Amino acid sequence: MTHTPIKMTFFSQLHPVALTLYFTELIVCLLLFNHVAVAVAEFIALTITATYYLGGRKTARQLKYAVSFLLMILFFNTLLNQKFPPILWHFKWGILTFKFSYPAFLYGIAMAIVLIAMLFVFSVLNAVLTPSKLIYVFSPIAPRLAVLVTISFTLVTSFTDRLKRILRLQKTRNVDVVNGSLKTRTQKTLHIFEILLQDALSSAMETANLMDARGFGAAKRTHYRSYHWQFSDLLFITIATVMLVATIGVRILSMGTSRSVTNFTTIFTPGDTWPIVVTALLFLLPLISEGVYRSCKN
Amino acid sequence: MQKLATVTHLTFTYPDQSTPVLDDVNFTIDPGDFIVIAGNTGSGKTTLLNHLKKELMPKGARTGDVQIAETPVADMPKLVSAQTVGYVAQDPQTQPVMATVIEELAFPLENIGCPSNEIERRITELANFLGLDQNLDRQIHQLSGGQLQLVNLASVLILRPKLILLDEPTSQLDPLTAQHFLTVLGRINQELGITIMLTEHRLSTVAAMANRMILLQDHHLTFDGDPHSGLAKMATDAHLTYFVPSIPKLFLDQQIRTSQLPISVADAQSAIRTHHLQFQSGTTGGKVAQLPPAEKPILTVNNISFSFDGQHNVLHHLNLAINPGTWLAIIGKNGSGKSTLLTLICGLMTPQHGKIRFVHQLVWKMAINQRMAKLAFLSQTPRLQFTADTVREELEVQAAELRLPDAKAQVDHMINQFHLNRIEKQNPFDISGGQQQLVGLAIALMATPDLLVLDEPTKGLDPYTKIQVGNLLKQYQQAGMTIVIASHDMEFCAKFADKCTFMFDGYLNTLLATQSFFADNFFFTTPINRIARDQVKDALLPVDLKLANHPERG
Repeated sequence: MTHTPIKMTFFSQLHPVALTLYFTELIVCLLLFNHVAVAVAEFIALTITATYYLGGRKTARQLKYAVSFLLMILFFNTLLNQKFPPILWHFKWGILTFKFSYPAFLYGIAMAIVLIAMLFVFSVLNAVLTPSKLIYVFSPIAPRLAVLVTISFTLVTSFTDRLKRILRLQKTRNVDVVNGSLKTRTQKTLHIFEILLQDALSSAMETANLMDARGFGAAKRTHYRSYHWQFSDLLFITIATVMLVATIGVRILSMGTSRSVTNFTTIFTPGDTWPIVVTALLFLLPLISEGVYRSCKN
Repeated sequence: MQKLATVTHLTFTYPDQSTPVLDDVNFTIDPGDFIVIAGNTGSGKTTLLNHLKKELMPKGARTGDVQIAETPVADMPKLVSAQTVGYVAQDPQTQPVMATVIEELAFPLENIGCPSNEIERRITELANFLGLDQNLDRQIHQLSGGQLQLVNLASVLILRPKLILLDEPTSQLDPLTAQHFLTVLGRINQELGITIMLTEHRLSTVAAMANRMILLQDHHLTFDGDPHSGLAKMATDAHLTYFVPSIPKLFLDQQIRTSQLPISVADAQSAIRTHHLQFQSGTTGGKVAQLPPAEKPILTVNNISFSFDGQHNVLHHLNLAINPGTWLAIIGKNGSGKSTLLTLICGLMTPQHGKIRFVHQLVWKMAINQRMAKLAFLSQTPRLQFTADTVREELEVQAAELRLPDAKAQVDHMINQFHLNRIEKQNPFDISGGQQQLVGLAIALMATPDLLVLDEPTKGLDPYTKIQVGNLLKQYQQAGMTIVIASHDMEFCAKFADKCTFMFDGYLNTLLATQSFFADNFFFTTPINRIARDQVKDALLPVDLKLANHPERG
């Protein structure tokens, strides 16, 4: 099966404002619940979504980091929270004691999974909501700032490219940052940055003049709306918002969450069912929409 | 008819200079004009051009008056200025600020507060007119030099200005790309009626398109009229005669009288047919390349492949052997891999596959000091090789690195040889592109290397300086130096190189003697070869032709 390029997916083609709202809803939703079962359900739904949009290899690589992250949080959480019963294992060596608290362990798992899920959300966000789309979303609020951010992105690319070329070409002047003593290398690196700055400044002055020549600062900036709202955008974001409202309703009913670590004595409670259903649906909404979009193909 | 622009008694002096760069300049511009400004380097062409754009007006002492549409340029509101006068700079890389082509086109319209639907309409219209519609979503940094300069022009044109100013817009483009760019400019002038004013050193195409030429000599405007008469006037000046393109030069040198001095290939061919001109070879037996006898190559490139990203090979199983004392020119379009090859030859990067040997040593394994002494390189951006605060210091640093015995004398010699005396105390980053090129060449020659590798050595040089540099390099070659250049300049290669080759898609074609190379080419050849190949197959330059039969000598 050939994988659809991300640019061709329904999700990626959504209006940037719809995408921004959806990702905000996901983040809010992740912060609402702290039960292990709900967190796991959210994580599974997100992993499926991420695998579709980022590809299996990238998701697997991220999962590898997630495991080490999970272990680290578990370690510190169980180390710092030893007073909550039931205690599963008690270790004593001289004056050192360690009590392995079950609630601390479960709470650690829930927190770690929520955090990992949050990282997954940002990975998908990065792939779908590109910097230019984000700038598009924020440009009506701060048009000048938006254009300066865009220019900065472009400058970083050209700055990096220029640095590589300078490093290469300065070898013809015996300025080599790889060989020599630490002191020599440091001096030469600083010299390279001096050249880079001098060159960048002289061309930046010309670029600034040419921006001026094209009317920069002449009037209140408008913004080219290269994206147009479609019915599908409205439908998607309406469904997502209804689901978020439902999720908040479930949270108000105190389902899927506990106020104290003491209450983390079980992985699943019957009250977790509704939060699992609504969050999973919200997190899988892009994939469901993708299916509907494809089924509508002529 | 109302004048679009009026320049009256304009005199301008830069703050650090005592003599004016423009002295009592007067001219007017009519709507629809296509004007080319010609003159020596330092004659004030760019300064004059910048005076017509408020935001680019140089700082200094100014007298006289410059008006656009009856409004003094200095008093023009920024918004009006942006929509009346457009400006395209020499270096295509300096103008773009946005990430993609469509954003770059929208940028000036957003600046002037254009509503979104209007922006969309203008972009659609312009992109289709200029053939940019397939490139709208492309990243700016992925574009070639020619595409980028076209985007720069589009980004100015989208504001629908009355006058577009261009400062040597094709100086960094290969001949075919430059031709395409100028054709677009011609269409803008002819089909949209937009006034064009540009400075240019390569006059062959532009002079044929322009309806007016303005000539600046010694800071004065000495000619304002049709380009045919302008070129004839230039031919009478010892310096400016080098600026006259080869076709009019041939007709002027051979004193062929025609109703109008031909500039373009089509005009010249028509004149040849009309006047039944017969040419014969101007040199006895034609130019025979003085190739050194075959011996062990000084440089061998064996089956190299190179990729920047691991996805696509820039060079693909490339082979090359260069004999000592040869001058080899590598010709090819922008992006064909010429610069990458030269960088690899100099050991500044290492190919993923294959070997490059200088005599017997792998170039990338040579110690930097040893490599600097034997193998010098001038990149197409010389300023990225600069390292000091003044021009003189640049040469002194290089002399010190090379441990030259009589460093001061060597530095003085280079400064005199490249006429750098006037700028020796200036910061190398502040001098003009052409001067940076000369400083770069002087640095490269400090070592008197065995192999000199030059990437676009004539970029930014005016035709007179170019010939002087060519002659100087020829002297070094005759003293035993091997020279490899990558160049777009067909006439420079035809005049000075012994061997030429064409680079395409990461490959090098067979090395041929210069004469056979250009005589066999159809597109990448000199204008003289284009007009006279039917009569004298090997003719490349005006000097290669002699009139055999013409009855009407002037």
